[in-house]
Amino acid sequence: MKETWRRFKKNRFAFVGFLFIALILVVAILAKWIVPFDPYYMDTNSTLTAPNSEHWFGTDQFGRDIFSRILYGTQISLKVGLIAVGFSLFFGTIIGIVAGYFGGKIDQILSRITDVLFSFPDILLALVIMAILGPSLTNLMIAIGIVYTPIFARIARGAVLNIRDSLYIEAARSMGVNSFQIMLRHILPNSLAPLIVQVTLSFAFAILAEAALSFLGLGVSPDTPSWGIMLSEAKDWMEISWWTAIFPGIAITLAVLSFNIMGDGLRDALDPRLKNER
Amino acid sequence: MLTNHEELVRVENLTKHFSLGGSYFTKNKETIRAVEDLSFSVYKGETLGIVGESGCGKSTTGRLLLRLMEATSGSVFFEGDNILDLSKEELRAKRQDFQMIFQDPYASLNPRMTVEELISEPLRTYKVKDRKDRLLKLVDAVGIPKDYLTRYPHEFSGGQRQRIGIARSLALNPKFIVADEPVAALDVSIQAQIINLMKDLQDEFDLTYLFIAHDLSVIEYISDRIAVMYLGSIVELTTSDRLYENPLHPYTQALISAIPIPDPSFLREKIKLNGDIPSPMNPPAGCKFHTRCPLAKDICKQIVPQLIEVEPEHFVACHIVEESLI
Repeated sequence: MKETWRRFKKNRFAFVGFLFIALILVVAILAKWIVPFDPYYMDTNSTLTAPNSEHWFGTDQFGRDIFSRILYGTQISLKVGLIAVGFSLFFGTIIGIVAGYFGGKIDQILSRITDVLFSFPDILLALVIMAILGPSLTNLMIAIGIVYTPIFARIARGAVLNIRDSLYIEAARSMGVNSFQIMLRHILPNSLAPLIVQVTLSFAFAILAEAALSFLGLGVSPDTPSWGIMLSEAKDWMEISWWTAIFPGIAITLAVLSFNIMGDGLRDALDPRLKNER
Repeated sequence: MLTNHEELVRVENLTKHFSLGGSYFTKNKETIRAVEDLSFSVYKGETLGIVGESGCGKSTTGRLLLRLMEATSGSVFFEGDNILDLSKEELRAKRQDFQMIFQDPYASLNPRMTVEELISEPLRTYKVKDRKDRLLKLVDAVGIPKDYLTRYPHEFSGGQRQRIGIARSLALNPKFIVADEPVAALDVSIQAQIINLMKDLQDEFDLTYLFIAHDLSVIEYISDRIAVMYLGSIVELTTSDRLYENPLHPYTQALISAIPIPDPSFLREKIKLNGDIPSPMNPPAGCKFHTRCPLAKDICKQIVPQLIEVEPEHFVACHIVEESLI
């Protein structure tokens, strides 16, 4: 673990990504105390004001301070990203590894289920799940989690198929290591790299999916400061006031980019074979 | 040499067929007869070498013996118990007694585990106490410096990796080790080191080896007895000395005559075999070697020769040899 961290730090680009994510995390925790304005307060005297020394990022159509709302938005985005992606990573990886390792009938059954889930368009499937569960932030995270589970299952299964017949798996079996231990100690660590990359991508998708579903009225309530909702609302105003759309857009872009480059760095750091390169 | 002939492993009529193709739509399945009706014994404390061309079923035999693969039929008795009949749990308990050394030391070590994790994995699996002591003893025995315990396999040379693999297979104090071409992937200069190490360890840990190889000089050096395999069957089985001095089966004779001798002035009649090894999918009827045998007669094409003891401890499966005895 120490070794991985040491190697990760060497990769400056990835480390910057990591620092930015750490910053988002700190902001999310401290949002309550550091925001200059109440993100819910509507100042009807100054709607759609351009960025100035008071409102750094300007105000929206209800006169709410965009900077404060963006700081608050980190909470929703991180929460949705972490829980939804965590959900799909956990269940997807288990399904994928079990299917890939055991093969045969178990694989057939699990793979067909994931295929069915895969065949629906993402948002449509999320909508159906939300319609069944009812609109709330928790259900939104579960819905996004279910939608992305098949991706992780498929990636994990592919990675497992690649290494299932490796000699070191046979060696472990010849030493009497049981299936559970083989999956946990040999297969999981060796199939982690593509999953980590997928986590970073899915994190980005999850943030966007939350925005889309919230916009359709199935996620968080419209007054909640979420980057997605801000962006969706801004589309009506961006011709006359660019700042309503630009700043939430930049926030989403930076967060997504940070996750991506951190994921790449993490993948390299996790592979001891790449240690002395670069 | 051998002092007693106590059996550790007895193989009876071991057979393994792989079926190929035969999907839902094509019903005509093809069968590869990898190992056919194999019977032999391994004595306690000896090294039994198995030699043969690639594809003759020698690696399959090794894996069948350790039940890393399920046999089609036959039995493998290890200290009296038929390994092929054991339940999963019984087999797991038994696995401590027989281990494997793999051919490719690059692929047989998990690249994400340190040397320490690799060697102590079997110890952890069987909940052995005082793991650290045992670990240090093992690395010392195979000649890996203690400072290297936290390193990963890719930081080692092939020879060192094979030492790690050997240390791991010795971890549980096994009685029987199947070594599947343990030096085939190594440089010639390293091969001797590893073979000598294996010999030393055999004395130190009271091991019995089944040593699989295609290199006749390697196998002569380490084996007490040697079995020659051709297309899934044993054609000759005898002590190492006798096999090289007096090979009886025409196939063995051809193999031995092909060993290069490092003396350019030494002239020797080489027996050349024509053609390739036939496909194990439809092996020739009768003696499987008759298609390439310089001595083949009609009987060889019709009747499968049995492995018979032509002199004490010398088994041959050949009609020609059998006839010459009468």
